[in-house]
Amino acid sequence: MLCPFCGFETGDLDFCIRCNRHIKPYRQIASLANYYYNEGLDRAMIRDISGATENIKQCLKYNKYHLDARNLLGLLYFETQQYVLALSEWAVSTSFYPENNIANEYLKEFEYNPTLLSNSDIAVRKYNLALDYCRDESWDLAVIQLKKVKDILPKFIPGLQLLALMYIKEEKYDQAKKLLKQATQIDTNNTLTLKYLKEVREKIKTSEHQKKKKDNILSFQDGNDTVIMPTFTQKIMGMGGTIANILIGFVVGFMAVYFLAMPNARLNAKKEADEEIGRMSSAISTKENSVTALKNEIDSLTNELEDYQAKSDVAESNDSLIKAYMAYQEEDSAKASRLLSRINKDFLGDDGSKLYDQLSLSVNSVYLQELYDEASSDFTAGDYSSAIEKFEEIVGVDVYFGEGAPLYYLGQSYRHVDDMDNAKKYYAMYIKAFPGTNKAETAKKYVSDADIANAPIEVWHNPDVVEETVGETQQADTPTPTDQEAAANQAQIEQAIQEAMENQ
Amino acid sequence: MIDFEEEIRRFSPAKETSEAEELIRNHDVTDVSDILRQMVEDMKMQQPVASNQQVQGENE
Repeated sequence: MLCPFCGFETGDLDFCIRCNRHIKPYRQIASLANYYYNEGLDRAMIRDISGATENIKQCLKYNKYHLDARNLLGLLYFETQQYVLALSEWAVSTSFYPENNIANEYLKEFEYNPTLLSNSDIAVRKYNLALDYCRDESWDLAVIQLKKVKDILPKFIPGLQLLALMYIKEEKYDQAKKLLKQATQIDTNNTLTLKYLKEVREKIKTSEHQKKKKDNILSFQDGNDTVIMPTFTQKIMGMGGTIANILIGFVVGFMAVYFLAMPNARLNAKKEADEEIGRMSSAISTKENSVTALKNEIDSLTNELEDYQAKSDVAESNDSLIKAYMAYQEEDSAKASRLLSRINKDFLGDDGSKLYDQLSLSVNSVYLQELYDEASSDFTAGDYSSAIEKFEEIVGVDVYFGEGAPLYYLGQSYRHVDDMDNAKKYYAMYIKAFPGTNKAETAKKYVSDADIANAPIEVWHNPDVVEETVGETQQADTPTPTDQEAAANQAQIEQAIQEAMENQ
Repeated sequence: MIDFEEEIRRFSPAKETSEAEELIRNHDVTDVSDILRQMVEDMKMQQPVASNQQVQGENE
C-alpha cells in the first residue's frame, strides 16, 4: 500500500518508514474499498448494473485512487449509454494515472466514433425535454420524445423507465410491461424497474380478473332489483364449446365438399370412364372383326385341307380296296382283312361301296371263320389266353359274328382265367344281344340284371337269324356262303373293281 | 400504487457533452482517506493553539 501522506510503498507495515506516520486506519479503509469493489464486480458480472454502480461508488468514496473501480464505473455508465458520465469517470481515472491506464483506450473510442457523443446529445436533449413535458403533465408529447430517445439509445435505462411510467399512466400496461422487461434484460436488478414491473403485473392481473368477471356475468335491472346471471355464450364457450365449434366446422366443411366438389368430381370421373369405355369398345370391335376374319381364314384353310386330305384318302381307300381284292384273290384272307380295315367307306363311290361290302362279307366271313376255328381249338385245348386274343379279334371285327359265339366263349375264357370282370362284361353283352338262347341262359348264372342292362351292345339287328341258329350255336359253327353265292359275289366284285378303276 | 408526481421527481436530467468539462472539473473526488487526513491535519493545527493558550494561562 502507498503511504497516503508521502506516497511511499509501505508493503504490509502499519506505518510509513519514510515519514514515520501511522497508516493502519488507511489500510483498513483501503480494505473496505476493495470489499465494495469486489462486490460491485460480482454484480456487474451478472448484469446487476445499478447494484454494481452503487458498490463501485461506495468503493470510490473510500478510495478515490482505486483505478479498477473507477474504470469499471465508467464501463457501467457506458453500458447503459450514459456516455458523458462514462467520459468523466475515465477522464478522472487518466488524471490520476496518466500511464498504463486502460481508460486511455476507452477514451479513444469516443475519438474514433464521434457520432456516439453527438447522437447521445440528441437523445439526452429529447429525454430532458420529455422530462419537462412530464412535469408540465403533457404526457403525449413526453411519450413522443421518449420513443425517439428509445430509438437512439435503446439501453438508456432512465429513458425506458420514464416511457414505461408514461404507459402506466395511460393504462397501456402491456406496452409498459414489454418495455420494462427490455430494461430488466439490460439491468437485471434495477429496483425502480422491478417496482414498475410489479405494479404493471398487478394492474394486468386486476384488469384481466375484472374483464373475466364482466364476461361471465350478465346483469340487468328488473324493476328495483338488479339481476345478475351468467351469459349463455359464456356457458357454451368453454372447452365443450370449442370442441363443438370444431365439430361444426368439420361438418360444414364436409358438406361443402360433398355438395359442391364431389358432384363435379363424379361427373368428371364418369365422363372419363365413358370415354374409356368407348375407346375400349372400339378396340374390342376391331379385335372381334380381326378374330372373325382370322376364323374365316382358318375355316377356309381347314376346308382346303380337308379337301386335300379327302382327295388323298379317296386315293388311298381305292388303292387299299384294290389291294384287298388282290389279296382275296390270292386267298390271303388275313391280309385282305387288314387292308379292308384301312378303307374309309365314306370316300368310296357307289360302286366302290358295293365292292367294299361284298369283299368284306366274303373276306371277313372266311377270315373270321378261320380265326374262330383256331380260337375254338385253343379253347378246347385249354389255351385260354390264346383263345381270348383270337376271340377278341373276332369280336373287334364283328361283334355279332357266328351268332355271338365268340362273345360267349370270350366270357367263358375269361371265367376260366378267373378274370370275372371281363367275363361278366362279355356274358352281359351276349345275353343282351342274343336273349333267350341256351347260352344266354347259361351266362345268366354269372351276371346280374344291372350288368346286362349296362352292357355296351345293342340287341342284334336280325333276330330271325338268331332264332334259326339257336339250336346250332352249341356247335359254334357259323354259316358259310354257298359256292353259288360266292361265285355271284366274285362276279360282282370284279365288275365293281373294273368300274372303280375306270372312275379312278 | 405509484404516485406519478413523486416518481417523476426521481428522474433527473441527463448530462450533455457540453456539460462534461464542468462535470469533470466539479467531480467530487474526496474520499474517506482525505477526510481522515484532513482531520489529522486539523488536530495537529489545534494542538499548538491549545498549548499556547495553556502557556499563557500559566504565565498570567
